[in-house]
Amino acid sequence: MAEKRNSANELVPDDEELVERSLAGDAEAFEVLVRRYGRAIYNVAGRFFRQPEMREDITQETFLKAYQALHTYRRGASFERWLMKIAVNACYDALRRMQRRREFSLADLAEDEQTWLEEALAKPAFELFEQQQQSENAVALAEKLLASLSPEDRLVMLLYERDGLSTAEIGELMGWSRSKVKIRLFRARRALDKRLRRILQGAQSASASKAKADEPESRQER
Amino acid sequence: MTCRDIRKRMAMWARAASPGEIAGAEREALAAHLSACPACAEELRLLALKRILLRATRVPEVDPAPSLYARVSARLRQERARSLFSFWEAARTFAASVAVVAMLLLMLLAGVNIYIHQQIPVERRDFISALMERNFSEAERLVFAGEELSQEGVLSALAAEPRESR
Repeated sequence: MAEKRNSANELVPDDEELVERSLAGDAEAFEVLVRRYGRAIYNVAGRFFRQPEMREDITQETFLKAYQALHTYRRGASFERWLMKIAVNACYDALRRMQRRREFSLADLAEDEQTWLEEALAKPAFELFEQQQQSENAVALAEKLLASLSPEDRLVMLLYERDGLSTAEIGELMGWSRSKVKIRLFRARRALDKRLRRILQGAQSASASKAKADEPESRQER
Repeated sequence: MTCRDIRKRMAMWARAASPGEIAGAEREALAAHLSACPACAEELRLLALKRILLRATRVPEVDPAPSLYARVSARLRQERARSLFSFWEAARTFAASVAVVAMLLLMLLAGVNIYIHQQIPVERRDFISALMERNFSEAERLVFAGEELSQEGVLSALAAEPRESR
């Protein structure tokens, strides 16, 4: 069986050998896999959840599920990808479990978030588009916005729009057909865009009424 | 470029994993289009907002707390113990159900036996046990005392008995 050498030039067993040994009852072998992929799984959970506790729970759940389903792992396939699928599905299950969908309303935004939004939307679109710096208010606003989406919409928006995965890649991770991914993507975009339009309209009418209230001053400025 | 082309390009820029800079000539073409087309300008604002909000949810890759590995190990140990326990548990459940079925079967057989016995009239039962005990004089007495037994039947049965056993 193929073995690699680590940085200290020691022979390290490859994933397949460790899986075989785990299946034969070697508890230590699976622990090696946990240490090998723990960081990657923790960061997959980070794509969907910010809280460290949540990410730890997902990591734990992923390895537990992998251990229980180890006999279904096909030799020759990438163990890492197999594990990733379990992790993303564990995230999806967690999103579904914590689903408390609320209508997104601008009225629910904190004052700081509202201010951030107004300032952001006051910029020209190009500038906003190319803005690199992040703000805690944007994070909070984004979390509220995403919480109003269904778990499916949220998942595909993050994986496709934010992380740049292809529909084929998402299909493989989730066990969905390409057409199912495309339909979900279409719905997710529509749902998110609807909320974003509402934000833009709300911001526009807010700035219009503000402008009206400040009319004498704004005239002076011009 | 038509609005359709522009929007396609904008959606691509918004999605690109690289920083969303729109370069040189494309930028100029886009700016020219946007200044004449408020609908596309509004679309870019929407994409820009979407992009910035989605990007805000990104977290940098980090190492998990070292205690996580200990937690996972503990959970796996628990799982191994549980699956071993559940094997014995299943074996015990199986054995217990086999015992219950056997007991029910025994009770059923005993019940059937009692029922059959109760269906036989007392005198016939006594006759049968007298025959089984080879107490033929008693059997004979019962035959002639009883009304339900036919004399011929019993006598022929007695005649079929080997002589030496009388």
